Amino acid sequence: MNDPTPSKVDRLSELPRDVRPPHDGWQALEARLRAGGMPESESSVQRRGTTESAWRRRPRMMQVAILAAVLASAAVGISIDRWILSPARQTPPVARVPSSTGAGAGMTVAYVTDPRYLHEREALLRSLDAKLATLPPPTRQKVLQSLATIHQSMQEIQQALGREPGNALLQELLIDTYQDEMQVLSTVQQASGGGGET
Amino acid sequence: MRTSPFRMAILVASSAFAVGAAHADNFQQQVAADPHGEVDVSNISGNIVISGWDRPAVSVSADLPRNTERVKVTSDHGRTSVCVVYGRSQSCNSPGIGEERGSVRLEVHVPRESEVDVSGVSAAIRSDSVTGSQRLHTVSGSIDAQLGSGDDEVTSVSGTVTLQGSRQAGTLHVTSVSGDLSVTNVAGELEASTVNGTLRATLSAARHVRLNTTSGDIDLKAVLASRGTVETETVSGSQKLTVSAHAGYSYEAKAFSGDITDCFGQQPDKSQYGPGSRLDGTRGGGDGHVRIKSLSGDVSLCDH
Repeated sequence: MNDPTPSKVDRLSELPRDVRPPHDGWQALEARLRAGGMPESESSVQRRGTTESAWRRRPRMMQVAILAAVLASAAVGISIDRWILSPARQTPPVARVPSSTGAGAGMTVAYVTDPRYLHEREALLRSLDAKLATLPPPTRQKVLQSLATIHQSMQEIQQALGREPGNALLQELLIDTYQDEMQVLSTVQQASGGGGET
Repeated sequence: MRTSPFRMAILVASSAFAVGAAHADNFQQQVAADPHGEVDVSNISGNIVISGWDRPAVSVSADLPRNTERVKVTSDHGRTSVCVVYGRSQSCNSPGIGEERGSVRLEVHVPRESEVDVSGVSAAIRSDSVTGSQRLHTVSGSIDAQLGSGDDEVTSVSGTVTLQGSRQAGTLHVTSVSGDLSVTNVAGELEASTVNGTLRATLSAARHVRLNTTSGDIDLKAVLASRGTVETETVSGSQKLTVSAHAGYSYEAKAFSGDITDCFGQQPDKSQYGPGSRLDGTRGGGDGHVRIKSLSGDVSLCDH
């Protein structure tokens, strides 16, 4: 590489085993990155892996772990709705989130789900009709109306998330709305234990 | 046939008695109770009125519409239970098949510092002068209660809930599916949620407040205690918050498509790449914290 004129190579063994750059540009680049307050790149960590102690890498690993956890949490809500609310659809918890460009190609996201949550919600939904039947008719109507409001809200948030999949506010709202739904289902479950229709 | 005035009087009196017996069969019973004991009251339909008093006794009176309903009062190891028994059943609140349930009005006096647990279905609940913890649950009836400084829990499915605190710090959890919630003069901790009901709360010395609706509106007036926090969230409901604190607070309001306004003369930041706006700032020393979230509801934050 020091020779600017390329020479003809006939055999693989003729290639040099170690190609050294003309100068180490990393130090200047690192100084600029630090001055700009930008985070270190993964490659820089790898490059200096032999000299950097493990504790320096922990914050980055934690950031990755936190990001993964946030994505997983957001994904729980989206996948549960599509998976559980449509019992006929027994596909694994994988959903397609439309790309922000609106083009046909979607971004496939593998979701992590909490089996205990899924099991509990499925059980509550299965017994909902029976529980509702024990409530006074006006109350039953109001509960159904409230559940419809929650499901409508879920759809609105999901549509917004489709446009902005990385929006943290939408992710939080979606997860909280699923929790609201669980609370309603649990309240109906407890309320219907008190007695029959009046 | 001639009827003598005497016979006529007897006839009228017995008719009046019969009518009275058909519409109200008064019940009264009093049992000794632990001043700090537990009192459970349940009634499917009608009214439940709880009043605290200074006697170490539980007194129950009831209006029973028919002779098929009875009131059962039991007391054991500091716990007093009051319930309605229907027809031939021996169990509380469990009418037999085909047996009708009449609307029963229960009035229960309890030692003021009792721990009270009240549940109804289509029964309205009212409570006053009880300073111990209260757990009040009803399905479609309304709840109207004065609270002490204990740990209180109130749940309704569709009834309206009106709670008045004592301005002494306690912990209050209120949940409704579709009913309106109104909480005043509460201090300490408040967690309240309703799906499409309106949520109104007035707090003094609030340590932690968490309000949540889906489509219902939130109207909060709160004075924060030291390092107090407020968190509110709606999907489409609007939020109007008036929060003040001696040592100030930091605030953070986020809305995806709703408008954010404030009384601080500050403009929210609009997202550069899409919908969404955000308002961050600090009042005074920034001791407390206010966090507001909404999808499409409008948000208003003031401190006076």
